[in-house]
Amino acid sequence: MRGRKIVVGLLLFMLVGMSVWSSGCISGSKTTTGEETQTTEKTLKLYVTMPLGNPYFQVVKEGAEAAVDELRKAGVKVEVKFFNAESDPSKQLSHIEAGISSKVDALIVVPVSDAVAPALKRAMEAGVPVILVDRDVGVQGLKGKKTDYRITAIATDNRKAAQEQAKFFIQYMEKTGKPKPWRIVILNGLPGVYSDSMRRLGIHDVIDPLVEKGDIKIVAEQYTDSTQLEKTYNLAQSVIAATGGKFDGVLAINCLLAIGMIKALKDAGYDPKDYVIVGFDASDDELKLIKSGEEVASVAQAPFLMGYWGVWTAYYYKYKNWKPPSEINTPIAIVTKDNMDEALKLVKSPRPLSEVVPGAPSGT
Amino acid sequence: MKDFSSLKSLLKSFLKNSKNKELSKPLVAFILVYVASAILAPERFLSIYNQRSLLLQASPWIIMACGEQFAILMGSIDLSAGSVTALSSLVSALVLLETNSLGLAILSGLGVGVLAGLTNGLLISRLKIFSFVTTLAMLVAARGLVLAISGGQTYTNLTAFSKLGGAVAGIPVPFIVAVTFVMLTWVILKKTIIGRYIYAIGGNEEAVRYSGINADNVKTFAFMYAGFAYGITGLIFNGILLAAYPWLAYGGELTAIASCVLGGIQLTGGVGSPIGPAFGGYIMTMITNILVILGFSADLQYIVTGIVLVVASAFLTRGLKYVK
Repeated sequence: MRGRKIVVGLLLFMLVGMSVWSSGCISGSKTTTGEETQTTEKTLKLYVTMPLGNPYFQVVKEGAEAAVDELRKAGVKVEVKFFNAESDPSKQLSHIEAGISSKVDALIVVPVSDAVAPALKRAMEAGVPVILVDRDVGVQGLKGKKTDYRITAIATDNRKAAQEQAKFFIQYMEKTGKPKPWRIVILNGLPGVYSDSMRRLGIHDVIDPLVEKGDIKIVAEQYTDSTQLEKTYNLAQSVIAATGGKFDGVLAINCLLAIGMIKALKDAGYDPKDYVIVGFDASDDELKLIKSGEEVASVAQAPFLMGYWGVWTAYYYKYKNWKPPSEINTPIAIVTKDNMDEALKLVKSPRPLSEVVPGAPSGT
Repeated sequence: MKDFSSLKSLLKSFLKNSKNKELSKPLVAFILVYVASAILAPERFLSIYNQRSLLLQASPWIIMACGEQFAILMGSIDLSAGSVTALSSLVSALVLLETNSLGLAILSGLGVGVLAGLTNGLLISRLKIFSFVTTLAMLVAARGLVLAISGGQTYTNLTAFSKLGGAVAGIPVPFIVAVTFVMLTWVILKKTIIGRYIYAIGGNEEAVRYSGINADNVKTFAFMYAGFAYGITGLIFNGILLAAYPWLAYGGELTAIASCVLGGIQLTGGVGSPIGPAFGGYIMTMITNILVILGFSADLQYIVTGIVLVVASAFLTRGLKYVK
């Protein structure tokens, strides 16, 4: 029996250790560094919970921090805490509960799963406004209105973004002068991943009419776990085997699918420059490929603006009595070799909310 | 079609004359899947490019499954395969980027695997934690460690690893490594005393212990060797992808376990040929490949893989009185 106690003890120790280590408050700038002379009435207390362990969300955080800095410069006392939810709903639940019990002015949440939806509703009922960032909850349908769960969701409209991606792809194909029908490959994530599915639909919105018209022939449309490079690479190899490398262009719904295809083409002795490959995400690795000309373009989202506008929305909600629309769509940019710097600047630097939401307040 | 008929007769005589029943069954399953694929898409499946891709794609899974079987042969299970592979891939990549020495990178990748395996083995044999629980903890913790160290970042510029992913005389280096590793595994399991103990533990652990053998040390060694295999798998992945990224081999343990099952390793332990999992890993790779070539959608791919697993397992366990 002693053995069992040790087992239980060890497991508990590991669980506690892991959760303390990983869910810990990542950066807690407690209060504004006191400027004694300035006595201001305005305060803003924010809890931000999201998965922090990846570069994309680091940029969301940077955007939020930029807005916090601007508010502080304007004399608002901002107290903000960032929590790392990883992709663990139970951790995020505890962050949300903590926000409710400390009566924060707003919870800014990147929901890791629909499992946190009930907690978001509890927060709203307790008078703590919830601002979702990067994704919405209730994609599979929730009870009641979406605004019962959050005041707004600030995110990319993936379907629209993918439509833009496909439109760009077609324009570029026209320019290359390749003979029609163009033979194209579509690389998807797994069905059931919401953003991946939306991107697939967006691509088909634009491509399907052309397929009917006979301008485009889809020679392969395939699916794999778009978060795993070894799978996207293997998939690309199989697609090349299936088509003998005879296709003109590739639409990939995320960065790893594009990167896997380019690597597989190179390893098979083809020149990726002979293909029109358009990806999604504009990750750093993709930017390198775009610079070298092996990838034509990729869709950049605006994680910076998501974090930035998240904080501003919280401020306007409290002090300007602003009722944001149910969804705020952050802009996207198609990044190519020629427009890289401007395009990235467009989505990585502060812009006023009123640019995309007519009638939104501006300034402090 | 000539090839197929000669294969058929070869197959028949092989099954009849084969004394080594535990290997002949996975081999037959392998040949069946191979021939079926060749019939369904002769040009595309049998193209030199596709055959080389298959060798390349299957290699890491063959090595991982070879490690996994050490646990399963003892009636244990090792769920940490995927995570330890990712940890070894990441650590070796970081060492390479830091020191610019491929030798050190390889050593550190192998070291991480062996250390993780040793930890598994000690927790199981000394603290008597079920292998399922121990390795589940390792699965979670090792992946967490990967995410913590990398911050979710992908490390590229690993061109030095291309030696491990290249080809010698047209044969991919990963496949050469895999074949060598399969042979080493066969020697250990079939020609050494410790291999015999591993089979014996899977057959009847009580009896092994009563006969005065230190089964705990054997177990620790087995899990260490499995970890060593995952270390190699991580390095091979670095060689193929020339990048280390945090979600490498996520869920890979399930592919490894399925490969063992397809390779005729019985989950109750003690039965199976050391070479079987290699065929199992190859079968898993071929199934994914042929379904993509045939243009099956993702959902159908999962369903077909599931059905093939069931059919193959039923074939492999034919003749048994019962299973658990």
